[in-house]
Amino acid sequence: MVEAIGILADFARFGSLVGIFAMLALALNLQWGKTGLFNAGIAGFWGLGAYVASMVVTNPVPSALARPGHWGIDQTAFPSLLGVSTAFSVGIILAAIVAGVLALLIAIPTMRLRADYFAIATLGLSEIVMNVFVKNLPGITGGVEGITQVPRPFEFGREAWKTELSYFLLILGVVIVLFFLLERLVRSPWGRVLTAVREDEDAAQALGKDTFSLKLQAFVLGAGIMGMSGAFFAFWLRGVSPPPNLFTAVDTFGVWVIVIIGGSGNNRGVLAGAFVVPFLEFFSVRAKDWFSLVEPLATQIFYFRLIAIGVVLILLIMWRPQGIFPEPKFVAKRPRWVIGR
Amino acid sequence: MSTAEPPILETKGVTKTFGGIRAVDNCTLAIRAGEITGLIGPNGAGKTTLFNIIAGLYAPESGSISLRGERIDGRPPFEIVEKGIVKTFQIPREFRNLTVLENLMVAAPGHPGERPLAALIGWRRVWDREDEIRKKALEVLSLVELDRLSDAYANELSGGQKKLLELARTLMVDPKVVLLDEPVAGVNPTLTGKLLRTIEELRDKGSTFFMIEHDMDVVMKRCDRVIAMHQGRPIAEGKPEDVRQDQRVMEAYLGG
Repeated sequence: MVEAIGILADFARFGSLVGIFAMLALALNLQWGKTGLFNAGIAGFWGLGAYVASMVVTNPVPSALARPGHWGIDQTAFPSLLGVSTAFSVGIILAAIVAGVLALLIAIPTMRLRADYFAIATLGLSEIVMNVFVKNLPGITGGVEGITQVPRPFEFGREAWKTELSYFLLILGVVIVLFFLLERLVRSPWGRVLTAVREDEDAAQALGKDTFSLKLQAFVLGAGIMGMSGAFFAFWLRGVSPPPNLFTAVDTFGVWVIVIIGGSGNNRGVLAGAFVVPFLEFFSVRAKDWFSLVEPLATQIFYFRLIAIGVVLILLIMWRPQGIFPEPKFVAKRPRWVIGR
Repeated sequence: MSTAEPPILETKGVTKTFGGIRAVDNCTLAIRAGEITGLIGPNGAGKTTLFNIIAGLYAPESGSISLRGERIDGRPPFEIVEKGIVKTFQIPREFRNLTVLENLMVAAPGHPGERPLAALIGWRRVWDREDEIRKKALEVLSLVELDRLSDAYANELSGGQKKLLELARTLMVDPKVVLLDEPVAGVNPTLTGKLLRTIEELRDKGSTFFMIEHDMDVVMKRCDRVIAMHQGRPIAEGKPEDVRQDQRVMEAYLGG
């Protein structure tokens, strides 16, 4: 019984991570899958969101000789709503806004670049944000130590499985709502014109579309979702720390793998793909216990996930380059309900 | 058509250089409303560059372009389309992974559903407009006889059908002036006839066409007026048969 509850907590914890990556992948699917924006700076938007949310839900820690300290907000300032501090909602919303503003600032000078140059620019800028600024601002971000003791919205003390399960259900709900909102958005005339921009930007321009503004909308919205995912990640991990521990280009590539495997341009596919990367991580951490492995395999098995991702990608590119679920044929579809006259 | 009527589209002293090459050099010409005006000239004369300047893809270094007397040079492409000038591409630029119908629907201007918030909320007026646009797109498709293929992906069409699609897409915009860059190059004779008949029908309904074309048969038979360009500027203009016999035009083509 105790063991069953332990396994439940373990799976709920894994499920939460799947949900966090699903948010990132849905956002990238809007940017790349629909609009063709090669965002290689996912880790930056994600990390910034995580840091912003962490600061909102923790008390400030002053700098001292032994610790860098970080910004925070006096938690008594936030009223409780139904027993949960409103700091969490504020943190999530602020994380999305700050990541969106960063996207706007990055996009204005770089959006006119062609896909591959845009990728280099976003990769570089996100590395600069995380490695140069976040890492080197002790007193604000906690410097190399990051921010610890970040709380979760629902805490059940010793009954860890309740904490894990309730958090998983929260994330599940957010992913479901996000999925339906994005489906509605991309299966609209807006989604169709984004697809046209992706297919041929010059032609879209020649037909009178303001492609710069359309790309900006998709990029900023996607980055906002990535920031929100970062907030959920910080609560999940109960802390944040700078690269090379977290928020590196490896995370960015993980999200890319999800979108490529699941099916670029298909939100359902991307949700399916979101199981893959966290699962390989989950599996490679636990495999040594599950299969009672001995050294050196017990250590080596952890790196199995890197090989597995490579193999999966190669097989997919050879036999099913459009991903598990290809993009649906008709873009715009009248929703089941409309409002207004 | 009285010659006193002001031209619908006018360029004055337009110049564009690429490095040391003056692709378009002090080019002054005028297009009359309700006519098909042909633009001929040897390769490298600057015809496509001039089209790209008019459509706002390049900014001219000097000179002005006006549509019905209103300056339009230096504006971004999407604003020029809003003013009523649409250009087709020499090589069709269809949206490959949209269906034929969607290729037309996406070309419709001023769709309220192309704003994310309106799309998210799902206003009835967005989807009513969508239905109107679909109806219009199907009409245009039957005009160019692509209606049977409306649900096919655009990349499944033949080269000639793609040219028809390109023309059909511009018709969704209700343009004042259509710039056609070699609309029938590489299209089989049957489709060519269909395409040109469509253009003539639209001309008779009041549309204005400015068309780059190398096929002299097409130019002679279908154009109301012809402008010949050489080394970035017009060297002759007038009725097709007059321009063909113009000494300067013959020299330009024969390199005399």
